[in-house]
Amino acid sequence: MATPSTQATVKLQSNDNVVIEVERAIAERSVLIKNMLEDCGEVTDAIPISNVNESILRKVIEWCEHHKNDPVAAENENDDSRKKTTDIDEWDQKFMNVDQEMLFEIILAANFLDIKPLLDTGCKTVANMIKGKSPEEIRKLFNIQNDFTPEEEEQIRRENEWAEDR
Amino acid sequence: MANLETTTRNSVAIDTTPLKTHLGRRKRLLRRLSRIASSPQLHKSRHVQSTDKLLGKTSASCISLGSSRRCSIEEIRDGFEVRVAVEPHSPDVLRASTTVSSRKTQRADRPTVNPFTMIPDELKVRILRYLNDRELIVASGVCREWHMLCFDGQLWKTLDMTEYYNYIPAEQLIRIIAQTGPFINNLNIRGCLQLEPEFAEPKALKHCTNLRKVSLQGCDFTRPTIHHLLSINPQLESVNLVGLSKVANSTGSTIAKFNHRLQTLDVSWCLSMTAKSIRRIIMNCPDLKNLAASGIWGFGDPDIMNEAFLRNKLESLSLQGCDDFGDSAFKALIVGKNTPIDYLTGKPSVEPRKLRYLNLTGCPELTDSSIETLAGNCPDLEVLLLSNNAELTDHAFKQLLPTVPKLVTLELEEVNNITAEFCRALMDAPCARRLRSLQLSYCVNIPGEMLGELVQALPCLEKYEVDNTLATDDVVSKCLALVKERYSASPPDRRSPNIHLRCFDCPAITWGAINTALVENLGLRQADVAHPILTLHSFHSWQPTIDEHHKRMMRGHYTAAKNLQERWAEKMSGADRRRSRRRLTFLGRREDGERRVGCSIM
Repeated sequence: MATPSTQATVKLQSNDNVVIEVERAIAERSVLIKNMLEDCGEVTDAIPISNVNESILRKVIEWCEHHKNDPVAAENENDDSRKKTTDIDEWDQKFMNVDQEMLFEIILAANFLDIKPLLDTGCKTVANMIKGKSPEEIRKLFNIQNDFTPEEEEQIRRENEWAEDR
Repeated sequence: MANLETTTRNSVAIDTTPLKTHLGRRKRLLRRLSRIASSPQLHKSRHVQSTDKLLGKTSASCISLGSSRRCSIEEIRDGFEVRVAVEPHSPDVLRASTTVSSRKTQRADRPTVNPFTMIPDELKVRILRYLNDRELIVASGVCREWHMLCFDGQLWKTLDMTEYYNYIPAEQLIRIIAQTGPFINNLNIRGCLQLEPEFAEPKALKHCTNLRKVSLQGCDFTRPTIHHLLSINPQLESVNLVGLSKVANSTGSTIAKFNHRLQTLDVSWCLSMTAKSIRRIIMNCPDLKNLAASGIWGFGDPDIMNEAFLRNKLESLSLQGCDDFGDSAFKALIVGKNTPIDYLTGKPSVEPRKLRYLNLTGCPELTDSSIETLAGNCPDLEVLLLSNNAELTDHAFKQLLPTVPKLVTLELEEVNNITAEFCRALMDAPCARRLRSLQLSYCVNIPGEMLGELVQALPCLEKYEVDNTLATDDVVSKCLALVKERYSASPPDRRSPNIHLRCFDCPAITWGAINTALVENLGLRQADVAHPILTLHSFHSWQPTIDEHHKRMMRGHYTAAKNLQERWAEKMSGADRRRSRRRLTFLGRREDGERRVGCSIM
C-alpha cells in the first residue's frame, strides 16, 4: 500500500480492459487524471479511461513519460499568439509520425484526458499536413468526399483563386 | 498488443517470450492490414464501432472478432508489460485473415476513411486555428463541411491583410469581411487601395461591429465610410488612420463622441485635421495612451497640451513636423499651464510624466528651454527623437541626460549646435549603460575623437549613425573592439548583438579602416558562425563591395568573400597612391605614411 498523498503509481484501464500501471507523475500530465486523483485522494483501483483503447493509451503514456519534466505551460487561451507558429520539436515530430487514424486517435485521447500540449502538438501536425496544399490535394490526403456541385465548386474556385499558388 | 489475437489465433494462450520476439513483425503486418479497405459499407460499420478501434482497425474481415473476443489480464508487471491470454478462434476466421494478409502489399499512405469524421467539430476548428487567413480560404474549398468550419467565427478574430493587400481582389475581400465581419476584433486593411471605389458606400463595413483595433492606413475611403465605421464600433481601442486625406476635424469629433475606450490613435499626416479636434479626443477618451499626430497643424496652442498634462496618461507622443509646436505648448505638456512655481526649487512641482516615447523630430520652434523643462519630469523616457531641431544646444542635454536613466534610443540628426560637451554629458549620464541606438548624423561640431570615445562609453550600443561627421577610423576600430569585447564577455548560450555603423560620407574615414573591418569580420565568422560582427555603411561608391562581402560571408562563402576583399584592397591602394601624389586637401590631416600603414594591413 502506498502512503497517502505520495502514491507512486496509478493504474489506468483502457476501454479494451487492459490495465496499465504508470508513475503518478506521468499520469498527472493528464489534467483529467490529476484532478481525479486530487479529488479522490488515494485511488488503488484501476481508473477506467473509457474512450481510449490500449494502443493509444500506451502511445499517450509514452508521450507523457518523455514530457514528464516539462514545465507546465502558462494557460494562455489567446489564440492569436499561437495561431502563427506550427513548429514542433523533433521528438514530437517523430512521435507524431504515425498513420492518420492513430494521429486522430491521439488527438481525441489528448482532448479527453485533457493534455493540452499533446493536443496542440497533434493539431499542429494535422495543420502542417494541410498547409500549402490545394483543396484537391487535401481531399486526397484525408480521403474527403467532394460534395460541392460542379457549379458551386467552380464558383468557389474562382473566388479563392487569389489565395492559391502563392 | 491486443492486436496479437488476430494473428496468433493458433496459439491458445500467449503468456511467455515468443510474444515479445514476434511483436515487431506482427505489428508491421497489422499496420498494413489496417489500410486495406474492403467495401464502403464496412468503413461505416467500422466507424460506428470507433470506440473499439483495435479491432476496427484490422480490416473488414476481422471486425466480427470484436464480439467474440475475450481477453483476460493475466499479469501486470512494471506498468507496461501486459500479457494477454486469447481464446482460439474459429477456422473461417483463420481463413479470412490469410486472405487479408496476402494483400498486404497494398500499402497506401491514404486513409480509407476521412479521419476528420472521428473528431468533433471543436477539435476540427482547433486544428484550423493553425492556418493563416489565406490557408483558411484555400481549405474552405475542400467540401461543404470544411467551408462551414473555415468560416467559423473564432477563426476570424483577426483579419490582417499585411501579406495579401496587394493581390486580394476587392470583391473577395468584401465577401470575406461580409462573412466574418461580426467576429473580427482586429481589422488591418492597410494599403488595400483596390477597396476605395467599393467603399464609397458609407455602410460598406457595416458587418464589422466588434472591432477593437483597426488600421485603414493609406485606404482613402470617403469620410462617411470612415465615420460610420468609427460610430458602430464603440469598443475600439486602437485606430490607425495615417495619411487619409478625408479625415478631418469632424472625424475627431466622431471619435470623441463614440470611441471612449480609445487607447491608441495614429492620425499622422491627416492634413485636413487640426489639433483642435485632437483636444476633443484627449478630453473624451480618458484611456488615450499613445498619440501620434505628426504633421498636424495647431499644436502651438498651449491649451491643447494642457489637457494632456491634466490627465497625465500619455506614454507615447509623436508630433513630428508639427511646425508650430513651440516652447509654451511643450511646457504645458510637461508641467502644465497654470502650475504654481515651488518657491524652494524655483520650478513648478508636478508629478512625473508617464511618457516613454517622445518624437519631436523637426519641430523648429523648440528651444533649449523646452528640453530643460523635460529634465527631471520624465523618468521613464526610453526613446527621444529630436532630429532636425537646429535650435538645441549642449546646455539642454547637460540638464536632461542625467535625469533619463532608461533612455535606449536618442536621435539628434542635424542638431548642429551640439559639441564635445554633449558627448561628455552623455558619457557621464546613467543612461550610457543602456543606450542602444544613437544617431548623430550631420552634427559637424562634434570632434572626431569624441565620436570614438562615445563608443567606448556605451557598452550596449547596437546602432550608431554618424553620417557626414568628423568621425575618423578610430570610430570603426572602437566599434570592432566593442563587438569582440561583448562576445567574449557574454555567456555562451546568449548571443551578443552586432553593431551597425553608418558613416556615409565621413571624409576622415579611410578605406583602410573599412578594409580592416572586412578582414576582421570574416575572421570572426570563420572562428564562430554565431559571432556578432560590425555591419558597415560608408561611402556610396564603396557600399556595393561591402554589401557583397557581407552577403558572401553570411552564406558561408568565406573564400569568395576573401577574394573580393583582396581585389578591392588592391584597387583601392592603387587609387590611393595616385591620389596621394595629388595630395587631396580633405585628407590633408593624415600623413601619407600613415595611409600606407593602412594599406599594409591587408
